[in-house]
Amino acid sequence: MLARDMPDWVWQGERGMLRSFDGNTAEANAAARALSDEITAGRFTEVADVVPGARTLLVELVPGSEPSEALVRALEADAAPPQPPAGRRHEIAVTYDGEDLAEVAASCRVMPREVVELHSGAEYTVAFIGFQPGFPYLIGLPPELAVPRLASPRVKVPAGSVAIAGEYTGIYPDATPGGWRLIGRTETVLFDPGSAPPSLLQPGDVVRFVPA
Amino acid sequence: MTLLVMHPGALTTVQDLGRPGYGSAGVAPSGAMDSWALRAANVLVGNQEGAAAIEFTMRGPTIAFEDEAVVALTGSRFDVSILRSVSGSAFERDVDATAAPHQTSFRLRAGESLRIGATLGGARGYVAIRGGVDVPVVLGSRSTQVAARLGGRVLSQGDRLETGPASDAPLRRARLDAAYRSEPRLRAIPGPQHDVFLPGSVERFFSSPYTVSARSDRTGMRLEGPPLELRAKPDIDPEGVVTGALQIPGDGQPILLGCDRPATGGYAKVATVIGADMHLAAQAKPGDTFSFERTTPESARAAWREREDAWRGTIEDIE
Repeated sequence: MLARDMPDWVWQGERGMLRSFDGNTAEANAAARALSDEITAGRFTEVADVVPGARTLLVELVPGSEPSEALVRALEADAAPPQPPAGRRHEIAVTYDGEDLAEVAASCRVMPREVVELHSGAEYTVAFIGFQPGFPYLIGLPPELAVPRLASPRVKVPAGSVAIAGEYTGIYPDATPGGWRLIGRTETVLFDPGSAPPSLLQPGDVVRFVPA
Repeated sequence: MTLLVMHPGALTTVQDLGRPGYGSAGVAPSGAMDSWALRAANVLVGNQEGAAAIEFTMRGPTIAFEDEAVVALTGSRFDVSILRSVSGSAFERDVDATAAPHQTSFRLRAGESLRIGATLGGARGYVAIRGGVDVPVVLGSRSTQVAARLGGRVLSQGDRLETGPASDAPLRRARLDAAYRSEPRLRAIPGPQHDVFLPGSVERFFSSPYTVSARSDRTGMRLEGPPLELRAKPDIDPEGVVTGALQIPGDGQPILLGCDRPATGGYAKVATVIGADMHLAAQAKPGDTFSFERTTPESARAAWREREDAWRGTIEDIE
């Protein structure tokens, strides 16, 4: 283990403590989720929110409060060793008729049918939820399907759209502007403020897409 | 107690202190953009500080009170009249209008209305009603998140709102410093990605005025000024963001994130406005200018404590 001469976290404002992790996205994200679980379980009274990102963990403090020594120690600790996925498993039925399916196939130099096979053949991990309530960033996309976001985002992406961009696949829980490439749609409800927890998918959960 | 929205104003929503703690589900905190003003309005009418009240923007609503009420207006000063109908007529021409006080709680009789017109200062004002606005609690808060349609929607004509159980606190007044100040200096903590910008460009950011664009809302305030120049593309691996963060998209023009911001963002951030100065940002209107001043997390917390210690001391009973 390399010695560090400075902590791996930085301030984002006076309330945000942002820890970053090394390695590829899967490794860094797994470490961020492990620390998220640890800090959430620690019930630190000065912590208002704990938000995993792709390769980071944001700890947001209660206004006016300072981090306790125990919280700083937790943020500065070495990354947890990788663990096998412990989240819930979900199968999500998808109708692969997205508006961008043909274009994605063309830019990946495969047939649309092969896009469906590649996308539904992989197993994904929920890296984090962001952008809008319940929107999952799923990692594990076959590298053959890596496509850039649209240069100009759509004004309105329909709710339930299954989409890809870069190394992620995701699902739009609600109609919203968005720049990811649409390959299908699902009827699955991803976000319900009346449920506990409100988001169907949680960071660390495992997802497979099943062609409907 | 029931209130009736006779006219909604430009952008009127129910807000409290928001729903922190759901960032990992992708949920924005929401809540009052000028949280000091909301808290003061609640204390003036005898509510808990974090009770739900009404936030209005640029041009306020007209609200009819079907029962007797105690209300208080805070935030920026708006042109506000109390309307009393003359001889039972409902026609506007038969209405007697008197100016409503600012930062002072006062009683309204059943059948009177509050007509909140254009702002006389900054962007946002608040009206608290004794008992608090009693809309359903969603994820721990009565705040409206407009984009995600969480906890209700923008108020519209004909909406009826109920209030909760009222206290019997005395009427009060406050002497908070003016919520609105022209050309404020906002203190900001550099980072976390200030390294991705050319150093001269960050210096320029901290020494130049930025103008608030008309494309601004509770999600983000777009600013126009000398563009930030990046060493590389502005995209970063998405990470959790805080309210007040200044993110820089490809055009180099900062977006100051508001209370309805997403939970995560994929643009580099040059700095974050401190909590003690966010009310100044919340009160800025399109066309207003800001400048930014470097500070540290320690100074930011001291500034927060100073304001926390000061504001309640300005509130006094008047009966």
